[in-house]
Amino acid sequence: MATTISFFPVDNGDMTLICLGDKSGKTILVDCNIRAAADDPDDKTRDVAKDLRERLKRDVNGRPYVDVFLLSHPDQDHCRGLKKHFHLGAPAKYADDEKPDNEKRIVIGEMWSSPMVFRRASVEHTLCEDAKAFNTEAKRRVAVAREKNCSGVDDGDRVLILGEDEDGKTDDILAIVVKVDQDITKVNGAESKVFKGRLLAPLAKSASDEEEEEYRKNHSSVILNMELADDEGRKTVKNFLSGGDAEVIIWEKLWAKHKQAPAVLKYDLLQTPHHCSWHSLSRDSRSDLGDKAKVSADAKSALSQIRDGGRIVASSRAIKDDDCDPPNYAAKLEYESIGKGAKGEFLCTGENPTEASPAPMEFTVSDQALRRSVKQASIGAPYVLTRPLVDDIRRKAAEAQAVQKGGNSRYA
Amino acid sequence: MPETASIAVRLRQEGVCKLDSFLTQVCNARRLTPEEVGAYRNRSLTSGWEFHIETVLMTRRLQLLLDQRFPFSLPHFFLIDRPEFLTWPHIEEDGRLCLQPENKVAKPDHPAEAAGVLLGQAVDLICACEAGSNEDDFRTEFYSYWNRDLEESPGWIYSLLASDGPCRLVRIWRGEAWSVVGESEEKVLTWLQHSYGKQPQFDSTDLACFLWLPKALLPKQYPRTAGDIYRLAQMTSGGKLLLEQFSRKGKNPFYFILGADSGNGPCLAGVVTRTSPTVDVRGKRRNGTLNGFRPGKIPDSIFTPRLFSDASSASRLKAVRVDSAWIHGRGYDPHQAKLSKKSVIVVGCGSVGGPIAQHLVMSGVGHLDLVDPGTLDWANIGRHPLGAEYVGRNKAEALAEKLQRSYPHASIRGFNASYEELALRGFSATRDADLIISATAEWESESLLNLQHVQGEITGPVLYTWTEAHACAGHAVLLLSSSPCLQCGMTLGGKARANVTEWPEGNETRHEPACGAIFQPYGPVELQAALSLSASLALDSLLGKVHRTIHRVWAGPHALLLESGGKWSPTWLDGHPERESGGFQEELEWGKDELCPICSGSATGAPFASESETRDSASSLHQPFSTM
Repeated sequence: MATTISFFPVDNGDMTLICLGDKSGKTILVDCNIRAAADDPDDKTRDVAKDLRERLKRDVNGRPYVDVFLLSHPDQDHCRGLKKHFHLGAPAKYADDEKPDNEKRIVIGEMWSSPMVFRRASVEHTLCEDAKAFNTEAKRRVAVAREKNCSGVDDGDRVLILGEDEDGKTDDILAIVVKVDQDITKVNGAESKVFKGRLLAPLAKSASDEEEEEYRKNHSSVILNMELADDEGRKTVKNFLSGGDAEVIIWEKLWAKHKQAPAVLKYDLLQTPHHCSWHSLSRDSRSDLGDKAKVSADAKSALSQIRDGGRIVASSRAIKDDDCDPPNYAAKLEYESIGKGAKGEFLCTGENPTEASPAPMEFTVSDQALRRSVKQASIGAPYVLTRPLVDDIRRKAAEAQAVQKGGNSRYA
Repeated sequence: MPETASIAVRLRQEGVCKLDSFLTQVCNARRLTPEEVGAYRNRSLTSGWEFHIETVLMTRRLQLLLDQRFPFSLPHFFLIDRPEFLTWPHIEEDGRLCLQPENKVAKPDHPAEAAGVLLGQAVDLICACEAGSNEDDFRTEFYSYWNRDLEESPGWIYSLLASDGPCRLVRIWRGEAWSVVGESEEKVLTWLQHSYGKQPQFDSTDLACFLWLPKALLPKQYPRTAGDIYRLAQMTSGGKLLLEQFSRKGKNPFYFILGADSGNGPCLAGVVTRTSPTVDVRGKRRNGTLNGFRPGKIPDSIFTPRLFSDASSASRLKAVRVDSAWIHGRGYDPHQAKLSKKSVIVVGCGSVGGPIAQHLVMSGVGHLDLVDPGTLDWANIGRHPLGAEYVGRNKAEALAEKLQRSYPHASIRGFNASYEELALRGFSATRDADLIISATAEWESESLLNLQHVQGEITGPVLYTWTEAHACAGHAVLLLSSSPCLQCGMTLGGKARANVTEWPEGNETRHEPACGAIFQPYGPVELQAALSLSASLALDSLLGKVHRTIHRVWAGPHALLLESGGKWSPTWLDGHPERESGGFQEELEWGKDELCPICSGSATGAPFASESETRDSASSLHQPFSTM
């Protein structure tokens, strides 16, 4: 089965699941936003927890699990539902074995967390309970790693630190630290042939308080450019760039750093930062300047490294031409223009397939492309009929000779 | 006991289930709501599904809908994510894809497979549209696009024009709802009079302009202003100069016919431009084209582009070809040009001559003279092109009237007289006719015709046609020269010397309860083969395919012969046992009789000798039924 990326429709929030196409079939969940309404069976809000569970495997104990949970940054719309739906704590303390499957909390094999991101966020605002719980669990796992000298740490206890912490706080556990501009090549403890993630942010702590404040106010997030192969054969390789809620200053810094060698920013799939907010593209306020607000050329350049046929996905509610932000209509137009230049496509999770009934938006890395699809497990049907699929359907259908070609040999 | 559904209803119900299963499980389609289906007006669609396809450029929504004839009709495909109408060919206003028109349902119980095949065609079409590789289809199927999206009251232009270059000024008769355009005023008015009779309004025509374009137009090139016409004219050879002439001699509104080779033959389109007068500062309505010049002093090079400028609107009209080349073969009949110039005289407009005349006109013969002194009776209409509304009328005049109205581009006259009467009056048409057909089977007129032919008063070919009793056999003899002549194969009394069939005494004809009212009993069906025999030989002659005298015989089915009470004649069967079953056509020699009193040269000058001098057929050198 090929590598898939699923964007769950979680309104203005992020929740993305990557299922790797190798034999391991490992799963990487980037953020989650499981709202109470989604958990309410009487509410029409999409039950994304159910959607997630349908895509996860069960371990030897019958527990649902994700191999990796990456928290891009600790805003509530990126970790909502964590405490309710995920097991946090030592694996031995898992207490849901007797519960029905749909009530068992999901085990996290390895957490990918950035202490710098947490620090910056906690200065800006009070962390929500789910974020605190994540942080607590991350600290537990770091302690386990320290205790075991970063070796032989089991599933459910693993953690990867994304970006060095300040003041050398992570110097003793560098084995589980991924520095900025380094690659993540292991997923939940094992090297992967189908996944490689270039860590682009969080930017290192600045010596300048002013600059550091800018990072905080610009929603410093984990920015990861993930190289995903279809399977171990690596016939198709695509890049998925995810940047949490990172705003304009962050992207300007990235462009300044990488503009001479922008390949690190190249993507086939971009999740628009901060749910298609204008503030990821511009320093200007649209509420102050209206249409005179200008896009930051550098930020846009950083977000414009799209390959031909690439997709740009806004994980947000439906985008209207109004004053909302996020998502923002003017930002959408900017992303659409980026996509158009590469014969690509702009999509919104809140409009897929319809605004009234959104459903997970799936992509599959296969056949030299990044293709729309639906979850294979349940109905096995592609979301989008590709040309090869259509040709296959036609070829099989033609055998039945249900359509007569050519005119009648008899004429009136 | 519950009523079981009919086969048709069951197939439909099962078909919808099968299709639903295929579309939802294989194509991940969602079922359309009744409101979404109902949004397609005037389509009588009953149910539908929507799914997504991925093309080179993007993901597009495609809908599949069923109509009320399903599963005996194929599903319809509609493209939702598409550009503006007439940007891509083969896509209708509401997004319906016009897939290969030759698709037909072969198996109503395999709707999913049918949908699968059509899905492939739909995606092929969309990909070709995206690539622009089928843009030329706008040209090859020109009418399908030009005739759409016209104004609500487009008006029609009926065209008698030759659909070819060069650009030229032509004549147009303008009616309220439609117009007729032709090469000359005479042709236009004649057509109108032929169609509708001599009406007072068919008295004059105006100028129109015919522009022959290098290529058929794409939708984005369709003229919307007079300026567009001006620019199109500049693309043609001589068009600019022609437009200058038209601007001087024509009058507002200006009618244009645009023609071009579509790739599937020539196509025509009509455009009318209207120059609106402007109002000056004193409130007077003025023709702004003269601004800056005294009347009569403005040069053509300035006047013409002002007259045909973007300030004047242009309305597109539908042009309908009614010329002979189109009506007879839609431009593909290679014989049309020749036949339209041919002139034929048909003597005898009864059950044989009448249909033959009709077939010749329908085949495109341009000029026909019909001769018959007889009156149409009720008993005739069972095997005649004329029906009840013509009973009591002279057959020739009535048939000419009917055919003329039906084929106004042809020229058809009817003469209420026998051939002999016309000959005595000096009927000159026989000199110029390309073919004379005698379908009277009356010796008086046929022998006169034959004599005229032998003695050189008639120089063209003459075709004699008749049937034997009960139409069990038919003959068509085409004589090209003075010898052999008709008499060579006839007795002096005008009976055929060799017959295919034989009849007991009194069985060949029937009588009506009136004096002299004898008739041949046969219906239109039995007659068809004999008619076809004669009409085809006539066409062969007109097209120059015949270079010698020919005698074609139709021998009807043996069963018909027996049922009618006849039998094959011994001479017909002699040496040809294969002729027993009948039902075939054969070509025979029409041998010259060396003792023929008309053409042999030993004639005594008394062509109509008495029966006592009838030649003994056995002693003559005439060989009945000599094969080729």
